[in-house]
Amino acid sequence: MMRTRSLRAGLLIGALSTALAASACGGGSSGAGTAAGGGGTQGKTIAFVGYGDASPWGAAYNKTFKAELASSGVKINDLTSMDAGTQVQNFNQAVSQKPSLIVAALWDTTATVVPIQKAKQAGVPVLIVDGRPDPAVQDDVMSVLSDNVKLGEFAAQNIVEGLKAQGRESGKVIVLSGTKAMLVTQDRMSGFGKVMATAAQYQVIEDQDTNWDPTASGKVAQQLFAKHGCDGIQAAYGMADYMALPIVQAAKQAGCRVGGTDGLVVTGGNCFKAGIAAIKTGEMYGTATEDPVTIAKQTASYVTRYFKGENPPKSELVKEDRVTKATVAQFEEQCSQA
Amino acid sequence: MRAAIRQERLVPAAALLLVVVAFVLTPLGTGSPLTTFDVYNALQGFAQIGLLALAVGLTMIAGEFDLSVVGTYAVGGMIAVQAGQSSAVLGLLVAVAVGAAVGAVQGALIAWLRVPSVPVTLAAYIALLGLAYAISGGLSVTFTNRDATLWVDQTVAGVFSPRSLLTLAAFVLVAVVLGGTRLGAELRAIGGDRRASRVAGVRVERKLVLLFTTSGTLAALGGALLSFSFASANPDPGLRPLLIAAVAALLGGASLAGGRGTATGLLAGALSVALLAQIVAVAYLPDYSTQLFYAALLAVVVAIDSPGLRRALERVRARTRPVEA
Repeated sequence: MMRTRSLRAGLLIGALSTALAASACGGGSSGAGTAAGGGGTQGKTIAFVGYGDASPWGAAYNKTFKAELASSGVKINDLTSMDAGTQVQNFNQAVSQKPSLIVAALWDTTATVVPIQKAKQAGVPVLIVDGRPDPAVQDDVMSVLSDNVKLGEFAAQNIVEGLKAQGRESGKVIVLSGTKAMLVTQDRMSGFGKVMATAAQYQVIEDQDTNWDPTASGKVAQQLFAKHGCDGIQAAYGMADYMALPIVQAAKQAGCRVGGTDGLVVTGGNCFKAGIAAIKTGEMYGTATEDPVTIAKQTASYVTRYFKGENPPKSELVKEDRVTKATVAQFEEQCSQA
Repeated sequence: MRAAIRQERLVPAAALLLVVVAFVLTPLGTGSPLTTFDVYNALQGFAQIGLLALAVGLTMIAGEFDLSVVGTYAVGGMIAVQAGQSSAVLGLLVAVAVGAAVGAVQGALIAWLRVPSVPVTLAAYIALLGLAYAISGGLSVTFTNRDATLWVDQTVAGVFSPRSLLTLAAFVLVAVVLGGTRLGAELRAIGGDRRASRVAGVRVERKLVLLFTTSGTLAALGGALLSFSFASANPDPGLRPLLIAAVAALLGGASLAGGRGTATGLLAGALSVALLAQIVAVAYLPDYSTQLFYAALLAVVVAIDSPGLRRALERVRARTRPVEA
């Protein structure tokens, strides 16, 4: 009886597998699009393997990138995801569809080495945005990159400047970083560490991966204030404004003073409207650009130039700037679009 | 009993049928025909989650739940990459051995100390994530054995890869063992009524140790194969793999209450989940649609077999049945 049931189940799975195989007989490839720049934007297809909309940065980037290309005649196939594993599958899916261009923002640079190599073999050009790709495939792709080392340096400069302005001769610093597996995070920490090393009186006591997640940032910040107390933390770096603001909130909940002449010095990054407001009120000492709107517009411009055959440079770096109360007016508009 | 058997067959069959029909009909919405690559990629998704689903599902059949599988998955991947830089087979064997040992220790605690599986495996999950961080320094570790990376994902017969075939082989092996020996019935008996199964002579403690050892082995194997495929090991895969594995197990006819489920059902559940994800990719739907689809499918298949609906259908049938003379 049991065996009969197993046999039936096996037969059902077999039948469904046959249906799948039959349905897939449409061909080995979709054959859509061309795999070269030039000829204008009309009729071109982009496979967009970016960050998912669940990330505030990703949502603002995706919206702007699509809007910028909306009237160009370029078709964007959305394969964005918040998960590194899904992204690898989506990248492979994109290669199989042979679009005119794959635009990708990478969650796990190592995991996407092989998919990028497959794209090269298939003749599908790849444009990497935001964080740099793995060095093994750096020459196989085009790129529009944030200057992440510089962004890390700016964050450290904000902290050192803020602590010195308070007249502190020593201080403990906590860092809530983005996903550590990403080169974006590693490059920022490299720049951050370089500048912090020049001010040895200020010591980084915690460096926690909060995966670009505002909720996780808030929880970890609460734990760190509980662990070290207000007197044990003098400055904090949240790698994006939406990670720095939960630190401010957690500090207040813990009864710690924020900003001013002796309160917690907080710096962010990837400037957002809320971060700009916090700088104005003094709750955040500073931030840095790498706002999603600017890089999304530059990516759209790059794509347009590429499709029009204007041969843009293989790699473009987005200019980044430091934002503090002294310069906030200059960057308010740029940083307030998301 | 009949209801349990009915559900362990009906739920996975309904889930797989619904998803395959949706997959086959996808071109109506996208305007592009499905390709063999779409099936290959769906099976790659199956390979990514299948062994975890099998591990979780097996423990659910016996009325337990192994939360630690995702920790073992992470540690297995990390160990396989670090030990397998020169020999992938060695890395795989070390990872699987560690996974088996982790599972055996948990099984022993649960069985002989009579401790519930959820707190034990939750503690193990946290400890294993800590271990993965300690081994890696919190960073992804690159796997430099490119031959192994290319081998695990190379196309076999158009739609398979060695990774998906190994995952399928694990399901077949478990199906044969559970179906061809008393073990399958014993696990269901343990899950259904542990005291009664002891009275009936089932060696519950030994079976639980074996079960958790198998669960750890499968999770470590899954993590190792995934890390080989990605050419990197991530110390923290998050909870998403566990959630998807649990969804696959539930769609596969297993029950959180235990006493129900088969390997073929779990296979159908894992294939359903993988195909749903592929539909989202093929149709360029937003990433979050996958979660919505999982939830919707789970709701549909549970509703199909809900006792309330069944009773209502029986009442309708009774009313409409012609009266025999």
